[in-house]
Amino acid sequence: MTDAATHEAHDDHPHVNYMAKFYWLVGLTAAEVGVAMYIEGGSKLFLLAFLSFWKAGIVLNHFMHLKTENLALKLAMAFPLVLIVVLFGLFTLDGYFLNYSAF
Amino acid sequence: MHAAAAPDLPRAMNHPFAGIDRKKLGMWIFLGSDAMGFTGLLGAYAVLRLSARDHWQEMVRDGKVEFINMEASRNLTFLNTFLLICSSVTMVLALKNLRLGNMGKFKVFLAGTMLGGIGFLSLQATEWTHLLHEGVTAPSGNFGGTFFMLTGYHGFHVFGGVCLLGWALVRGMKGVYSPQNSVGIEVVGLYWHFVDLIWILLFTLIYLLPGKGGPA
Repeated sequence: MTDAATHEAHDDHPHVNYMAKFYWLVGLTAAEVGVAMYIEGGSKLFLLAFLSFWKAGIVLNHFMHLKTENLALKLAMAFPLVLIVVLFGLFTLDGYFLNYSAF
Repeated sequence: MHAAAAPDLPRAMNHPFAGIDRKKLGMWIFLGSDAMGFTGLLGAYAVLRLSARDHWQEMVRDGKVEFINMEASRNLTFLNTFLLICSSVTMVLALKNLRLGNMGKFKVFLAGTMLGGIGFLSLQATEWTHLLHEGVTAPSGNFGGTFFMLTGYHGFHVFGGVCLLGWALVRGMKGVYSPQNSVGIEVVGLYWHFVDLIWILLFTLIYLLPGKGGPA
């Protein structure tokens, strides 16, 4: 492992069509706005979360190239992700039940 | 030199991250820890918002409780989100063109990314100014407090990214980067995409899930 790793004069990810990913991101954002404006109730939260994670997946996998990274790096990055989900879940539960703390 | 003091190079090169440049690995580790910082703030937001129930998007002004209308702010933010998505694409195209040896396009896309960041900050400043004129301030209530903290912390990251992009652009102009030396740009790109990634979550939580009690 060197500080200034050298690469061949080629694109490491020639198969990725970045413009297609851009159109997906714009389309998913438009879908999010549509959901936010026209859908109410529990399905709104579910759909918005689904669309957000889809967008985040595109950025992580194709723009940050995590999809083609070393497995060890993917696992190392999965660790904070698991911590984030657990921590955010605990915060959410705390907030939800805060009004019932008198019990 | 004593023979036993010599490092065991084959073993050292065999660790799980051996194939990854250390600048890139360092940036990934930084992003993992930075994501935890955002999680703390978003967690505080979740606790305060959920415990507020139907009184989230409110503030107290002149002794009266008022609903905070985010309609105008939301429209500006749609444009901001589009800008950030565009800048993420120009960033990845800058890296692609650098690796292909298209140095002119590399610099144009890198400059475009930086302009996207500056545009984002300008629109955010406009949004903040509008909200401050409406009386929404950090001490005006939990909504104002978490709004300015989260968007401010993210904006600070965008500002840092713009500075980093400017520095990379200057180095690019000086000919530091080449198809054989593109790791620096890849590392800057990782940071910039992370800023975009965080905005995806903030945009959904703050702007697309408005509180009850008013027309927004």
